[in-house]
Amino acid sequence: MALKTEQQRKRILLINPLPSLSLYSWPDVRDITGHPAYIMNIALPTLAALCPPQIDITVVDEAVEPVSFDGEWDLVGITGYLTQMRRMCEIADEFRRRGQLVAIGGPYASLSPHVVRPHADILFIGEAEATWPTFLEDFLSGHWQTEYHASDLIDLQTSPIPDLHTLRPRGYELGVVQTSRGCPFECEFCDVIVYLGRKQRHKSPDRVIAELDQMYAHGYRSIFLSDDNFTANRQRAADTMRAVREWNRANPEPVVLYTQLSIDVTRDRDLPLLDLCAEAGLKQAFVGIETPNTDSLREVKKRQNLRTDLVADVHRIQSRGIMVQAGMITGFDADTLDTFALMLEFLQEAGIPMVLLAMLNALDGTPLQARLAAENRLKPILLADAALDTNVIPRQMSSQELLKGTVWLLNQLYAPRNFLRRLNVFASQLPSIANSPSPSSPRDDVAFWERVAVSYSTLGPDLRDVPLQAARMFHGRDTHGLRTALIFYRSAVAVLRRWGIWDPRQAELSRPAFSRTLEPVG
Amino acid sequence: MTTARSAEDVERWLIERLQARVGENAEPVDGHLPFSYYGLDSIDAVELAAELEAWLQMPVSATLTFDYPTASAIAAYLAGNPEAPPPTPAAEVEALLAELDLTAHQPSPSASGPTMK
Repeated sequence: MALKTEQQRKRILLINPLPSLSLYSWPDVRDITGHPAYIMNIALPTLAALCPPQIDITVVDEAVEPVSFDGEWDLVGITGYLTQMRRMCEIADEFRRRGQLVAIGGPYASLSPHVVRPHADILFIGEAEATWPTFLEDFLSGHWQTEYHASDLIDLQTSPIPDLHTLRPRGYELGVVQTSRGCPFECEFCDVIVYLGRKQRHKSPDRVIAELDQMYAHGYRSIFLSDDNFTANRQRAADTMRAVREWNRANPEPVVLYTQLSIDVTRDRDLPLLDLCAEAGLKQAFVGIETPNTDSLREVKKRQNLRTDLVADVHRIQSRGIMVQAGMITGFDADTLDTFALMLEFLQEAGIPMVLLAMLNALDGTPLQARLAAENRLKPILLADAALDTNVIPRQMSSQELLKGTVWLLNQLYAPRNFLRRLNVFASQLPSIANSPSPSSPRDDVAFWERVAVSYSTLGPDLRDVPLQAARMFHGRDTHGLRTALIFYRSAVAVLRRWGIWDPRQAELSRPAFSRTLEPVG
Repeated sequence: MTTARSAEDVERWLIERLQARVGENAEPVDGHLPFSYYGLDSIDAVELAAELEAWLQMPVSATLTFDYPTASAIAAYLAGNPEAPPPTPAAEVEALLAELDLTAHQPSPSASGPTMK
């Protein structure tokens, strides 16, 4: 009997592939954080939690440890976003070459199944909470399909608590808890709403606390609430943050929270939701600001960023002790050759140290891609390789001008003097520690600051003093924003240098050196 | 794998190839601008990698230009970009800790050693 049970056991390897290099991939920061990877991905631990006991699950996150192609598995499952696509296919091809059965799912497979299909024996399209258990049942019976397509979006409350035991202990700087999926807005370029829908689905505050408890028990004191837009449903967000505030106050060590929200969180005059977020421990918010050009915002239906003063809004958030990290995009139809300099001016004035800048891309499934296809304005490039390229043919400039403007802007943003100026504006907006609504970060984390100084000392004469100059701006202020800004800046420098676009000459030019001697590409 | 050629040699060779491609009358090729700026598509990129392989007489990945999207990046990668000797960061550490009012603490022994436990 025991032998029979043993024979029925299945071994499944689940892999999160390494992303390609970008400002979102946080390279070269493990010597500062002390953790192999920056941010956790909870997709695979969620699948692990759905497995029956006769299945043995092994999870490998390539950001933490390498994949071994040796060994025999009953199934190899691979997830991933667009930025992981090339590595996802490489891993799948190698396992299949060795005769292993390969399944691929996740956001990229769901949005671009036609690209993934040739690399997978089994394809999962859509959220896997419903299809994965169905597949496992089929798999254990020995008869499975080649494609599992989720017909509906799930009730998020039914998603299991991720099984963190499948991840390497202390593998990440940031733990992750997801409280909702979906976003009610309809930005033309956004593929999240294509995949996760515009009707936001939520977990109850009790359920969120249970997941936070688990993260805390695993040693995480920095946790990212990985919602697509945390404050889109203000009542829900307030209920959650009230519960989190009480939870955090009861913790022996306070937890620092990060999330993503939209700038309209500042629309209420007395800002009760923002105060609540700060009291709960929110210290950093990614905000899709995209551009200060209102014509561009109107063009892509980013209505939540219109009819407001974006600089004042950013300062309102910062005044609650919350650092704004901005997603910015170049290459909208309404953008002109003047837009690059205007964008720099805006970001310097707003004091946003961490800027994730990319060129507009028309992603699979988005209304933007449909519109540009109809206008015959798509270039036939593979999106996964588009870190320094775009499939969009711009309207008011050539492709070369867009590239040159973007490279100039990246060099300006990450020239030490401009980074320090933005950090100084941010520090000046912060409340004093005595008046801060949120719990303070530990200042006396000596080992962390030693690692910062050591890491920056390897970057050359222009950069080695950046931490010291930055620290001078934070007397009497909470240093959490300084910590994460310095971790990010280290990775941004690594990205620009490894791409080979790091060019101090660009930072000396008041605007990009455009030239019209090259013919437009495409 | 690294080449015996210097980063400057590799970058100069790549810039010359790109300049020939865009035309001698076009603006001078800048090694810090992406290959996509010069209109390289995926087929051109694979061809460039093959030419580079022949010139260097060493294997070069066909996807090199995806991972290293400028002449400068490829040159630094292939030349191995020798690291500067590790500096002594004691002065930086001390100054930063003092600025953060952490001077009462002794520097941690982990500062210059392995960071993972």
